Amino acid sequence: MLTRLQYQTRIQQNLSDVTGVFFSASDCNESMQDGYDEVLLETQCYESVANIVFDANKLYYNIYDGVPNFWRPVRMFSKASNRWIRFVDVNYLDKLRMDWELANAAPWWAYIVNFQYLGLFPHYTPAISNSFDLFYKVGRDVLSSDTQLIQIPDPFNKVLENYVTADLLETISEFKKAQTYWADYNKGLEQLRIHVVARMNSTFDRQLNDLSINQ
Amino acid sequence: MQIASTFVDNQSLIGLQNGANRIFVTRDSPIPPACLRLFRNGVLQTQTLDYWAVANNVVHFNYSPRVADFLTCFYRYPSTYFYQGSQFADAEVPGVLNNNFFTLQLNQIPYPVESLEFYWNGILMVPGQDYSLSSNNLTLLTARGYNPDIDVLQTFYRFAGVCAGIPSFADNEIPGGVVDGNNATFTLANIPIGVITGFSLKIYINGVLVSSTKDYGFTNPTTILFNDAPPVGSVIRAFYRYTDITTVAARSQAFLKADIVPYLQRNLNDVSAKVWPVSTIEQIVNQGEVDIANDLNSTWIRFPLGIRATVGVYSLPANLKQITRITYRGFKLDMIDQNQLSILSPVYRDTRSTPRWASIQYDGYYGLRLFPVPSENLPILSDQNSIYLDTNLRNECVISGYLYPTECTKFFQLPDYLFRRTIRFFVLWKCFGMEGIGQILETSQYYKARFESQMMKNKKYMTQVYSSKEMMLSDVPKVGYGRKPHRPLLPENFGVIV
Repeated sequence: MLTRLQYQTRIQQNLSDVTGVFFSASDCNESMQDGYDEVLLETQCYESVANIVFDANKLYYNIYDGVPNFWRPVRMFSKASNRWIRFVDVNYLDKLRMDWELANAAPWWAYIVNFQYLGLFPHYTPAISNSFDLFYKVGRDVLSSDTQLIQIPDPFNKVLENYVTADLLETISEFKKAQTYWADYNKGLEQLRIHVVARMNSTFDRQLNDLSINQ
Repeated sequence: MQIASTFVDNQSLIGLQNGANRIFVTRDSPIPPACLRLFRNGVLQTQTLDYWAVANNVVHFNYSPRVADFLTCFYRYPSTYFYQGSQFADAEVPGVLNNNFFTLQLNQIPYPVESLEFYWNGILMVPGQDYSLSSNNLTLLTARGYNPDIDVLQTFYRFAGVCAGIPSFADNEIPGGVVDGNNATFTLANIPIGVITGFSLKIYINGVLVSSTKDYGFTNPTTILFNDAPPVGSVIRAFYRYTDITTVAARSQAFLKADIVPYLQRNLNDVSAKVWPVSTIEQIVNQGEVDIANDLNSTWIRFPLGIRATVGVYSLPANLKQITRITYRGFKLDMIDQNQLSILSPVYRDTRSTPRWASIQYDGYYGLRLFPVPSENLPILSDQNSIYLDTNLRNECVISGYLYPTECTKFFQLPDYLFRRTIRFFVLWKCFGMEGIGQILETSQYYKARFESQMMKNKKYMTQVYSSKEMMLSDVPKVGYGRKPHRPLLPENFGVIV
């Protein structure tokens, strides 16, 4: 993985602007942040886990504001009851109980309301000193320093590099030059996307092979 | 601190106004007490100098109001938020209609009507006595008309709509600075809101409102410079709305619209704003945000609905786009249409019990009909924090839904992982397409295509938020195998008797 500064150097070389005459460091960093956001969303290559305390009486958790880089939930585990919590639809909860918001107990299900909120059913009424683990995909990793590592695996460094180069060329209306980099970016992005999924699947296949199931 | 509030406007005081009585009562308790603005004949009364707040809603004047005095008050108390009349118009100078200097026009229709504060040279005018209001037309009932060269008019009011960001309020603040007749510089504790919606600051010197255009200016966002130093002994009080800095830390409010302008200027190669003024970019940013947020259904809210016994139809917030769920005492109400309602009960207007169904839009676009008609009062109990808890759920009616986005907030109403790129493409598309020296139509079309492509991606990202949801039997598509049993294939000549 490369740092922001390493990316910056490469991009300036692509643009033949090593001293930053045409494109300042801040231009480059802003573009890099935009590109990084997009790569994270398109490839889902960065996963993380947050530990969230169960609040008394709380039905709806504002995950988006509570977890700084949260994009979407993947899995939830309640440490209080030592069980996985399943994500379901509100219609499912309504069918279980039309007053499900009133039910008090250890949570079994979670309802994804929108990008911001997560509802729990049932929910804890008295305060308990325990928490749940929320495994989630990162949607925005704020790049705040030059030494910060960008969470893209090394063989795919070119993806972000191409995005920023194309993006900066666009700002000076060099659309044709940018097209070459956009084409490379899209190709690299697709490869990274496949790689992220394949990497996960290979483990899965191996486990099945070990068990002699996948014959 | 951000507090959801109910506003009480232009309310007369309760008490015997006989020239001797000094004790009066407000209908509700102003919370916080400092938010009470009490006017006598259009002049703001100062707490401790002119009156004492004895108890929660009891005021004790130092001098007995005369029989002919006009007493009115404005205050608020914590309760609901998200009702019509939540947008603010500040320091608006009404326009003259048809060259008739007795008829003025406001930009918006005040809602509620009582929220209008109309100041003539700093003195609060009396509705019905000094002016009358019809829609957004204001007719002067005074002997002389408005002279723009002499008179300073200011109006403050609320109008229909919902403000996405709930502001904090500074009440009865004494601006920092010495009142010695020489000093003209005073400081405020916070930055008054005024970038987009208008100027929210009201400064009263000896009870008379001074004008931000004629009487003072700002040297920095919190420092006021009066044109003339207030005389020795002047009583200065400030009331304004501001954005609590502690709430900016929340991720959904971390991006000020004002902060994105330099970024966009760099992308437009117009850092010095020679081609596109900042106001133009801000306007396009607002339009873009509304378009994008509307497409992505980004703002989901819960809010309480106050229920009154025997009232079946309720007015919803003007910018409520779609209801996703209504609960009455915690039980879900099913949404039905008018036809189903008429089948349920031909006398649906009179049937009284606990509501089990709701119908939207048939009683006016903002009308929500509950059936059966509630037979009890359920006051609003939750504020913007407790609405996400179950604390009041058993004794409250709660609505969840999506909002139409508004332009009134200072913050972006979009998730941070997509808003900047998308807004950028929108602004570049619009700026290069605008009439003027910056117009390059080909470039504009290029960015239009980029914007549309980005929006397709955004919709995918927003849908993927739900991708961890487990499929249930109810999620099976309605077409395909397994939904309906196959029709039986009968043997040839089945049932034919030979």
